[in-house]
Amino acid sequence: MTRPSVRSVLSVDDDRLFWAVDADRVRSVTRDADWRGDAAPLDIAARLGTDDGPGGAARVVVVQGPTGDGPIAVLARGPVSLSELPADEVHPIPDLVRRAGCPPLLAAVHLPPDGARPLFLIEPQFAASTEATPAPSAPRSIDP
Amino acid sequence: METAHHTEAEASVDLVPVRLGEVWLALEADRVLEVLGQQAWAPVPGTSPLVRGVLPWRARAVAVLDLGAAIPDVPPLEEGAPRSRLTVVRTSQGTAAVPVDAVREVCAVPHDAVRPAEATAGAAREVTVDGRWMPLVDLDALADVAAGEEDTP
Repeated sequence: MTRPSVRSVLSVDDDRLFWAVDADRVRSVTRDADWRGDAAPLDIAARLGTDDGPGGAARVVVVQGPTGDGPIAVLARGPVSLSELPADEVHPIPDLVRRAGCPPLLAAVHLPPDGARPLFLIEPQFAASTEATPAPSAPRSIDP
Repeated sequence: METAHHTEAEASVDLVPVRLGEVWLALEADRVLEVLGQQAWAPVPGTSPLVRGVLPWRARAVAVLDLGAAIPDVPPLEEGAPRSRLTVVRTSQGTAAVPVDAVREVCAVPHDAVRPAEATAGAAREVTVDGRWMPLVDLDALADVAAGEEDTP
């Protein structure tokens, strides 16, 4: 009997956004107060415009780039945990959602079959192209 | 006989009436891939109000379309409040899910029951089903606007 394929991730249960990165790309996790980097760590939820609360206790997760490029420090507000996700429950963002404005920072989504909170897998290297701007306004009617 | 049947089929269009709030809309039946029960959807930050999030369908994620962002008097989707039915539809931009409050069985209406919108708003065409005028939703136009490939009027 073969073991179901899984994806190991480090997840951050931030009240503002439940997000994760692939575990094999995590170089370190430190307390926010102990962080000694040159630049402020990236706040994922704030970058996505979902910064509507203070979030939980902060740590800094240092993530290696996907092709070995420089690491990126990401602010983790909330409990941090290692977990394994069934690979068949992790889906790429659909093209239509991407074209409708979903930023490349959000690479994939874990949708549990029980309808539990979705978990977004992020690609921090795309943060520079993700601005915390309001979503486009809605058209009120479709009359082609 | 086969020719007569074919002619009769061509003289009508199959529709699926759906209700959102108090508003009835018509979807072209050949665009409806599946009708499911209530299903939770996950909001995605940063998207257009027409595309509110994603949900799982047949081992992949599909976009959730909010007709409330496009059609007058249709209530918008609310996070954490899934609707009682889910229609999965085919659009020019791929498969999408449209949560609705009620779905009626497929009905065939004559082509002349479809006309340019006069009594309803939110779609270019409307149709009468059992004496009730309702917008005939153009899913391709909706998806194209959501994808930024068509200007809004």
